[in-house]
Amino acid sequence: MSLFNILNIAGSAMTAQSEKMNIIATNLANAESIIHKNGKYYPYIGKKVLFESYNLNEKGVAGVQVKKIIHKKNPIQMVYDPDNPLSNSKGYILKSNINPITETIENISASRAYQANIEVLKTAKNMILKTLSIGE
Amino acid sequence: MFEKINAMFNLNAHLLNLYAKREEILSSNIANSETPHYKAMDINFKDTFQKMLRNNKNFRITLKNTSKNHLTSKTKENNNHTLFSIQPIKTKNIKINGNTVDMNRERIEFIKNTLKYEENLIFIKNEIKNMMLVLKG
Repeated sequence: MSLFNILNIAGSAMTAQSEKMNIIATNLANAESIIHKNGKYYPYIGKKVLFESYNLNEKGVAGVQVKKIIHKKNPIQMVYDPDNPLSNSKGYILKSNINPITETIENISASRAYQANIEVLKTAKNMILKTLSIGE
Repeated sequence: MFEKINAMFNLNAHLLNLYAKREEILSSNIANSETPHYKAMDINFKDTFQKMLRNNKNFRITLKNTSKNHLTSKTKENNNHTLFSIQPIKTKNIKINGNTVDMNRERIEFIKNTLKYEENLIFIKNEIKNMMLVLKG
């Protein structure tokens, strides 16, 4: 029955959107972090989620899944901070390429999409329940 | 007697299936509102319903023959599964990532479709009520 399929579709979209919100939260939390790896210090590079639709059946009806998580390509900032022990010989340190404003706005958009899918889910559930109560 | 009851509900059953299918397509559009290169799909509903009426003998809307010279229309049997085609929506608004989902349209169509489905359910309920009334007296 196609109404039950709606639950799968909306569920897959909710999973994907919450994955996106998860990545955004990681980005915001690590906006100031510095990674220590192999004896060297690197700034944190922002991550981004790519969505992809995958076919649940042959008729063009599709759910969503996370295709892959890529690194953002914005330039890394150089900040003059000579007091920082990690700064180079000219007094600059590298800071992560995360823009908090962009992240916040993407977070809002992801949560709106999540809410839209919850509405779809609620409607489908009500429709199924009403169908079951035929003849009462 | 039972085939008459069957025939009574047949059209409604087909319609409910169609609405449920469309609900699924619209929900898929809403789910994929941010997927790159996703094209919004829909059923061409008016054509589909007309096809259904045309192909389904029991629910053919016919005119009474009041004269010998009137012609009766011919209908051919057709499978209901092949009736509707799902096509991408034609739109000029394409987002920068190749996505053609318009959330406002999808939400409104979704609500409309839900209401039509429930309206159909109420028709079925009323038909059952009528039958029970006749049976119980």
